[in-house]
Amino acid sequence: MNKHLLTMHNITKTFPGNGVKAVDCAELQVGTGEIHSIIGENGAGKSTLMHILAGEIIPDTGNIIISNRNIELSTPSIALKNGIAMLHQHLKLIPELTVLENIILGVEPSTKAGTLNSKDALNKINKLCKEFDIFVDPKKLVKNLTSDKKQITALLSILYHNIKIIILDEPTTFFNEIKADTVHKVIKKLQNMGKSIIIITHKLKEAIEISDSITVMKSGRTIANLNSSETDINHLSSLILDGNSKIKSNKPDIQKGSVLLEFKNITYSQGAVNYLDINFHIKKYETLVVTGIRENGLEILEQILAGNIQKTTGDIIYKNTTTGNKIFSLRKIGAGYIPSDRIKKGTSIKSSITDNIILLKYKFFSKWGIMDSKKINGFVSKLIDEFGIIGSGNQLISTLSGGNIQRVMIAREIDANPELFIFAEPSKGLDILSKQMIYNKINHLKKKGSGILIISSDIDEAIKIADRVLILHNGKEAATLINKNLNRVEIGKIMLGLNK
Amino acid sequence: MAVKSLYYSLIVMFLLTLGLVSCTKEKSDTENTNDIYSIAVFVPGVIAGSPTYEMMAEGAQRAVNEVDGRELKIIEGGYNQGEWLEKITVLASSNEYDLIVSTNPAMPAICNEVSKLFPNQKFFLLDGFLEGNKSIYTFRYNQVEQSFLNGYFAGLITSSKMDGANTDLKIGLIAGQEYPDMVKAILPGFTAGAENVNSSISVDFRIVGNWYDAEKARSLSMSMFNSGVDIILTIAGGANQGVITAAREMGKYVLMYDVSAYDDAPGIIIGSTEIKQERAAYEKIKLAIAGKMNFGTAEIATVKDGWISFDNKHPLYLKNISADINSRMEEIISELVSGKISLKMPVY
Amino acid sequence: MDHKINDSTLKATLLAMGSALIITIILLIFSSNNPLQSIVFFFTGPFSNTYNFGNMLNKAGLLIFAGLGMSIAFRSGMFNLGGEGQVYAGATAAVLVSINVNFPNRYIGIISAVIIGIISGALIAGFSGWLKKQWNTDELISSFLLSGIIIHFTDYLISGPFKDNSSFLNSTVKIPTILFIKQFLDTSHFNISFFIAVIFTFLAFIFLFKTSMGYEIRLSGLNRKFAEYGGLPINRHLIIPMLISGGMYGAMGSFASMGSYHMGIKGFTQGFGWNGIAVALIAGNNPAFVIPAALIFAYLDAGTQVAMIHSDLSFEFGNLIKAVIFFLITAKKLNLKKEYLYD
Repeated sequence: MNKHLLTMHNITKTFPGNGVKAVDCAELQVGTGEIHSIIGENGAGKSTLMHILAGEIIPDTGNIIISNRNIELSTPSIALKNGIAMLHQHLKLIPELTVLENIILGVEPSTKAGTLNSKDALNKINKLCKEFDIFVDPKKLVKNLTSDKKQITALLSILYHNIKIIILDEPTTFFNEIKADTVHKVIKKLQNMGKSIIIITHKLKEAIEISDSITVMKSGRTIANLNSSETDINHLSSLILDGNSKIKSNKPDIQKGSVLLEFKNITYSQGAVNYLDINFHIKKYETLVVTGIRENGLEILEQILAGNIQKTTGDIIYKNTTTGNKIFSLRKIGAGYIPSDRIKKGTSIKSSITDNIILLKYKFFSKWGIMDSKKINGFVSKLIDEFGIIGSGNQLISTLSGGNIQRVMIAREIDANPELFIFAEPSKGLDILSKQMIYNKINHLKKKGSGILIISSDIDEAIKIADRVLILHNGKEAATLINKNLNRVEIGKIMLGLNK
Repeated sequence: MAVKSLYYSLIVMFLLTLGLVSCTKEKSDTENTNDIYSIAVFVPGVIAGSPTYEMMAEGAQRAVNEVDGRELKIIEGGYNQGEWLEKITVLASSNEYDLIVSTNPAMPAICNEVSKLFPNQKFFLLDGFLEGNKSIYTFRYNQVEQSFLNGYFAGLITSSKMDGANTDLKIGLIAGQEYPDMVKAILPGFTAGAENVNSSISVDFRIVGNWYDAEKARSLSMSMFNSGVDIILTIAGGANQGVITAAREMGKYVLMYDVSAYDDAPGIIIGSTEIKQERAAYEKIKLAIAGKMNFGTAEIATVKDGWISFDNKHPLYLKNISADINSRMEEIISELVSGKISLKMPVY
Repeated sequence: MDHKINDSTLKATLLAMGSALIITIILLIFSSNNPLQSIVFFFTGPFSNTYNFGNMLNKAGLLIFAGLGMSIAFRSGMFNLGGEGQVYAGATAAVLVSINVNFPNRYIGIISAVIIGIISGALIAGFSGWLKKQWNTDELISSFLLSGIIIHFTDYLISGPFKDNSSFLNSTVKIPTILFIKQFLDTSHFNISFFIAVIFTFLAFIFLFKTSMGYEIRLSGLNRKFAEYGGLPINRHLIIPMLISGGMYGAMGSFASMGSYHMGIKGFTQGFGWNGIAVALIAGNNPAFVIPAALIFAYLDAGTQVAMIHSDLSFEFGNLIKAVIFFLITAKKLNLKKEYLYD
């Protein structure tokens, strides 16, 4: 038994583009057969740190020591060779292949003749299934599996290799889908076999129940390392939330405006699991911030708003017109929207600032189909000034910093003066100045009469700009509060379900 | 930057066009045009798999080798008929070759057109017909006689009791494509020859569509054999191979046209006419080199003059064909030679 | 505006062209008994006389049409792989119209024939676009398969009902002489189509970069999700770019048959479709660069032809060289970044 099977020492990672330190001199120690949880808020750096361990991200500084040897985990396959594998939150399975094919992907066993030796692989998989008391039919196509079987397939893919350290990334779904005692059995078995398990989670209760030790992360730093027997939920939550923060609450505006958007009894479920259950409205002249753990409902809410997924039950009503069963379309109702998936959806990275910024208004600049470059250039210059974008109109987005890219998007959306404005994770990856500018612009828009819906996992942000705050816990609406003298501990506790 | 590039391109193009227009036409006002020093052989297709092309090239090479200081260049033109005109024009425009040699019934029309642009370019064309162009001399074989011999032979076979023959009295002709010579000379000649043996013999005529698709030829032949044909005359260039394959599978017979290829498929290819293409190329080119080619005329080669023959001397032929049939072939050949049977190429 | 060329794209293209040339020279050295002669003919051949030069320019003009069409298609994210059928159909349609219709005068005749050719190509390609819109059929596959059908059908027309039985070629009768597009010089096919191609280049450039539809097309191609998110009519732009690129192929075919071949010959436009793709790729899908790209391609083609005629470069080697050039032009070096962006 090695008490220090794994040591991560002085790990720092700054992402280019926004200059924010995702991980800041982080430290981690895990022993053989240890179950270790890493907890913290969204953006604390937990995922990034584990991605570094799994070989998917290369840190700027620091080293990783496994069994007393300093190892560079520069690719996932090297990490795998060193016995480290990660079960991702969003399963990386190939739907068109069978369970067997997915499991052996990359390590296909061959016969002496060079053909595929599926017999060998099948035997191995069957053995694993027996050992861990889990079952899935290896010949089935993944796309035909129920979601709990998909989780088991993903688990088997990891167990198939000679793994010393398993990383579970936000295994909420994992725990939800597979029966609790099955999961516990698997984890205990792994522990008995001497494997180490690292769990990234924001669920304090489970962290204390399951793990031997806990590391707390905040703003990229590892601020505490405790035995789970030495702590309790309150202690942990105060560490995470840090009641000493000096964020001043916004003075709420309670102007009477008409209701713009209403989400009436909206739920979203997959099979038996309910991921979202929410009820809210947004009026003109107000800012509503929906906050919570990103994976626990915020993500789903955004996807429904964006029209990427369809609600299961409930009614979406815009200005007294219900959308019925049609997919909700923001652009059709003239709403503004900045997605959390900024780069992929919100910009055309190979295009210029101009081409990106005129997306909503290009028709306005064309007469008989031909675009008026003078007018366009004037418009672009105006926005560049107004929103402090550093760059010129024909510069490609790919050459801009992350903060600037955000400014381009915000400029585009806000300039269109939408009645309803939806902004997901506004300050994700932004520096302080940009954050402030964005808040100012949002407030300005609101004062002109728009209704603003912000989806944010950042509690401080909610306090800064909301008129009302809707707090989600486990996808369900836990509280809707007026932002008067709210503090982050209060909100954090509700978010974590600790306000009983 | 892109707009700049557009402008630059325009300027370049303008200059190019200027250059083009102000370029004076190349004049071939060089030496006296009767001396043939360099010769180009243009193959409309590729040599491999086409015996007549091979023979032309060999004959040309033999002629050139015998005289000092003459050069020969062989150029393959590929199967895209649309490109032949252009390639001949490039040859002619280069002014490098005193004589361009080619073969194929399509070449005279093509070379005639090129000749309008380059009147000083001389052409010698085998297997084609054109009269009256002072730069072109054509030499072609009397296809009616040639196919008549084949038809007669096929008639004898289909009426015989040979293993592959049946009682249906059907013979076949497969061609690469339809063209005037095929339709107006070869097919009628073939049919006439067969009917001379027995007037109830019918001819199944099919087209491959090109000169290289052996697989298509094979499936056409299978279909023909299945419907009662027992011997096929194949004139399809590279596609001939397919006919032979089918005949092998079905135990039937094949006739060849320009080159006797008994060795290629013993027992399957049982008859063949031959043209003396290599000799024609050799003799005529030597004439040209000596300055004695009759440009502006068209010569027709016949059985009588010895340019066309039926190969009944090959050991494989004698092995497979009964003395009876052979003697009838000898008879018909002598009738052509003596002029007792007279077959003329049609005019069109 | 993104019509600027990225430094690395320019480098990649030049690298590809450079490698193609070097390999060409190596192939010439190996395939020829007199390599120096082959090389000289290859590189200077197209300029050696007005016939070669004029023809090279004329071919470049034809390639410009195809390159423009494919640039627009590629930019919109649509893969039109049916060029071979579309050119052939356009060329043959123009010929058939010229043969069978009595036109009051030459200009109406030529223009009508060309327009019919353009429409033929456009409709064939547009059909693939429509299939994509209706049933999300991959247009890459549908256009390619459809092309095969069209080619066989056109072959049938030329070798069957419209065959000239007095010709020894597999061809239709010649189009009436008054409908020939006049050559500028006697010695080559160089005609007005080249300048029409240049005009089209301007039009294409303006269309892509200065019109609102061009904007929509470009953005749909660059990031479809972004375009959708912005509310752009991306479904419309499944059909229109296909119509345009098919039409350009049709134009290429029509000008070829009305200006150079003057008849429909079986298989005479073989390779034109693929060459169009090559030209668009060399030009980085930018209309502004299609003209030099077409000139370069036509030059290489002409060089191969002259080398084949004058030195002992064989038919197979000539095609091999063209294939190598095409291959290198279309291969692009991928630059994968090692870092992953995680939030």
